[in-house]
Amino acid sequence: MAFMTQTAPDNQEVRRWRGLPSDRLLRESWDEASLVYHRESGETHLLGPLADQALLLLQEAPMSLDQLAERLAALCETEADVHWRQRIETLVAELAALELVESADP
Amino acid sequence: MKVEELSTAELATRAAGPGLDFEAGPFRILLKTRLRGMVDVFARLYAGFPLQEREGIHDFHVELIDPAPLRRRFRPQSHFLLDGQAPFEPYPLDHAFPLFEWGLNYAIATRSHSWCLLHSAVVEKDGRALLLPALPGSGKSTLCAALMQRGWRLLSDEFGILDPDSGLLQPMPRPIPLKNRSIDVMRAFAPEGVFGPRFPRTRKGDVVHLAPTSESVARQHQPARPGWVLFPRYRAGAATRITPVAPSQAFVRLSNNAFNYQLGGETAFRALAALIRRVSCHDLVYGDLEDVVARIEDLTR
Repeated sequence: MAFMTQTAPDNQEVRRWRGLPSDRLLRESWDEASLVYHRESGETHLLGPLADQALLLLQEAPMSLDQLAERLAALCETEADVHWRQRIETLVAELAALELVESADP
Repeated sequence: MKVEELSTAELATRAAGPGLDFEAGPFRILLKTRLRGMVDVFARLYAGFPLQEREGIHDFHVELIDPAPLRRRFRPQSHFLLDGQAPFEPYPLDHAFPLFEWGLNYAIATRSHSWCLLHSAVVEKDGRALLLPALPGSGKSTLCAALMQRGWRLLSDEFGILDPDSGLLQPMPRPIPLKNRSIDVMRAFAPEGVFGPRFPRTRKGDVVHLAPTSESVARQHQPARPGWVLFPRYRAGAATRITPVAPSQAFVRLSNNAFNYQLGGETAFRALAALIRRVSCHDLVYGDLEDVVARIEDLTR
């Protein structure tokens, strides 16, 4: 099931997201969390494991929220149900607000 | 020549003339003053510091002056001048020494951006440094003073001066300001310490300075490798408790509390990340100095 926010009313393509390229970020990772330094803004962000994994996946290749939710669910060995998908949608919105991910579509 | 090798009269003459030229760790300071009380306290608390005779560039030109001698009769004051400018309101004349110490900290915190400046006490033993980062009132100066009096080398009670290139911590041993209740606590804990006079009712309460040990001053140009980070918190009557802190949390706390992390940009990020990789990090709650010093000895053995 696609998110309401993903599917335009006139059946335009689902929006895809991508992570900022790794050369625009510095990352320091520990078991419990990662710190990401955004080289353009000069801001440092503390990311939990799920957010960090989402960023890594979106740096590998652009993907939709649905695709990302599926990949993360598989990694976390959980079911990609509607609650999980909503959680991932919120997560991506937060990463976008931090300018760590951005729309991959023009 | 060390400060202690001059009489206070000779020191006063030099302070009023060419100035007292000395180094505190990586910083070279030229102090000029005609305030005799200031010189007397300096002589006691900076006794082991070498006075520089060679030509050179000073990082900080500091003057302590009485700006209006005519008003001395009713409300004498002292001004701190940094490169001729007065960044602070005046203090009472007899508080010139604490004004000098705080003013110098202000100068370092606002101008020394080639270093990553952590807000932390730092002591060292056997080549490894222990950082005690904390906000004022957490007891870091008291704990740092106690460790110094038990044989740790003082690097600083206020600044973790991190060299981003080498990853080493630079010493800057200077008198430790003890405040309010910690004054009597430390006098009882270390009666052999060299204490300055009591400055009552400063803006931070009563203050007494404890001079750095002679070893700390003698080795003030020897940096140390970071070994541990303990976030201290004093709680009256509390049993000593040491609990691990996740590295990422330690990074956030250190960076939030640093003097110039934002200014340092990615250099500061890399330096702090490298430091965190090298150390073990803990929270420390303590209520008894003897006990906490023993526990820290165990932890760092």
